[in-house]
Amino acid sequence: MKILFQALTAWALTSSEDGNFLEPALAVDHKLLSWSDVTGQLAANLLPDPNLFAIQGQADEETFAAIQADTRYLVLWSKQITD
Amino acid sequence: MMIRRILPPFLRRRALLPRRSLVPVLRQAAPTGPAIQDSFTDTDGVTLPGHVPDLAPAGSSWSNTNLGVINNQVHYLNSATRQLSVIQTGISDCIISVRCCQDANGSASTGSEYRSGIIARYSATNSFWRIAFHPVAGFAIYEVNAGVAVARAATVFTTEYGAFHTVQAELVGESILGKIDGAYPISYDLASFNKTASIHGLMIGYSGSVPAVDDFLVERI
Repeated sequence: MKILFQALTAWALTSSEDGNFLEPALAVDHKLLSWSDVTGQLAANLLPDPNLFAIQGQADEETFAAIQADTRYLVLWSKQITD
Repeated sequence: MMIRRILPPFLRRRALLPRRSLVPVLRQAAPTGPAIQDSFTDTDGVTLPGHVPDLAPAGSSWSNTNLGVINNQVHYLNSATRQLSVIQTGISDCIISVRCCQDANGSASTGSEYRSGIIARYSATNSFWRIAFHPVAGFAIYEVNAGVAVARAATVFTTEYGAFHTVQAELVGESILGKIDGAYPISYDLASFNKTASIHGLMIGYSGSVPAVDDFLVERI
């Protein structure tokens, strides 16, 4: 069973051998199966002081329980999906 | 080594709620014919700009002399990392596909951890979309906007070295749908940036890991 959800998150700046990029802090802290940005802030507005934004993600039940317990993130809604 | 920091401090931020409530829908536009097709069949050592695609609009040619043809595939001709090559297709809404191999000689190296895949809607060296996979860090859609790289969607994906994977991107208006080997779908439906740009292309990782690209195709929809 997987959980489909939307949640508010901050941005995280990731530095790697493959260059720097912004990604959801929630996806850094919790291993999501997949996610998509559903706010669509303009890239020009993201540095240096971006607002929170919402992602729609999929996670297994254990990961989703950890997200719900993580006070840094706010789950907007969720539902179980079978696929 | 991955270094991450949270931007900005979480407190005091104003939240932006979703502009759209999206339920993932797997779209599949119907292709109506190729605009660009290239199997990279040519003499070893020919640069991509010196190579003539199998099918392309008149006057369109590949960029980047660091890349060229070896064994009828795109390989590095010079040592480099994260190189891309683009070509004018004349269409912004389309289906792009390309076969990518992270390590064509099948020999893993610590320097292999770079992304390979598709460059879409390119307008400048620091402004384009990237639909690419990393050997261990997943498959993702990135907006590279005036040099700021932003991940817009991602999914878990790993690959063994030496394996070819077909990366596909379906671009329709403000929607981008990415897949690998027809699976691992990721989508971003707020892609207003560069939405009318008609230059597309390919991205290839680190020369030391001997990545390869083959069978580039842009189809009209």
